[in-house]
Amino acid sequence: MIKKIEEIEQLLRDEKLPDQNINHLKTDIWQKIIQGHHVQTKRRSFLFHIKPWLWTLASILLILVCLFLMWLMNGSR
Amino acid sequence: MKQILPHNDSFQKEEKWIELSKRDPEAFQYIFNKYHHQIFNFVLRRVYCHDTAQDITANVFMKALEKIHQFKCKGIPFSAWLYRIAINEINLHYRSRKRIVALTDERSLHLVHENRTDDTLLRKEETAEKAKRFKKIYEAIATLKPKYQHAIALRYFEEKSMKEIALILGLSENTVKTHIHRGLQQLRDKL
Repeated sequence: MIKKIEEIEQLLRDEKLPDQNINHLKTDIWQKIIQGHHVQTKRRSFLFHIKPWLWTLASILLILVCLFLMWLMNGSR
Repeated sequence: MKQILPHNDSFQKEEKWIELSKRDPEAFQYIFNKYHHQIFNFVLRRVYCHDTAQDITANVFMKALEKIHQFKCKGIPFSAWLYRIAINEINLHYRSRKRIVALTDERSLHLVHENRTDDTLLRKEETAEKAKRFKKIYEAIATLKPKYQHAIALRYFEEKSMKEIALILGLSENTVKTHIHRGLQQLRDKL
């Protein structure tokens, strides 16, 4: 049974997991980062590159759906 | 003690690469090469699984690259910012409990063994005993509140100063000291 805080501190320092050499994994991790970054950029640029007329059409359709729902709700009363 | 507060020259060089990375993701490789070892080992000491540590490290640098335009060189040091992202990713990992790999006797033995040059000098029983102690400590740490775990890991495993820990965790030095002290007290009761 450990009593003192200092002993716990020493134990933590002594039992610390040694640094692992991951130089052999460096390229794999870097590739993962770059690929992930490209996917994210592509996804973001896809949303920004949707043609304006498509945004307009989608907005009109959404408004029509809302109006239709309102009409349905009024009709049910 | 490993320093995260860079010297003037390296700070200026790093600042230059950070600015370059904002325009060209390939320039980020300099930053990655400089810090991947530190971040990987920090994550590994918190999740004790190589594959998970590798995934989390990749996520940390991916997030850093994604948000690098938000980083201001006059705020906290870049390494502290990376540690902050790493802590968030570790928290996310622990929240999605499906991904947690249990620290078995075999795994702890493997972790203790990995990359040791003195393996041949250690007797089998000694290694097994060390692995057992290692598992006991890490299991005790895992029962602490995450804020205490982070402070203890940064202080005793990453060997950071109180000032550096305060910068990483975004807390005052006194709060960090309190977190470490409370964490150690709880560990004393458990061990």
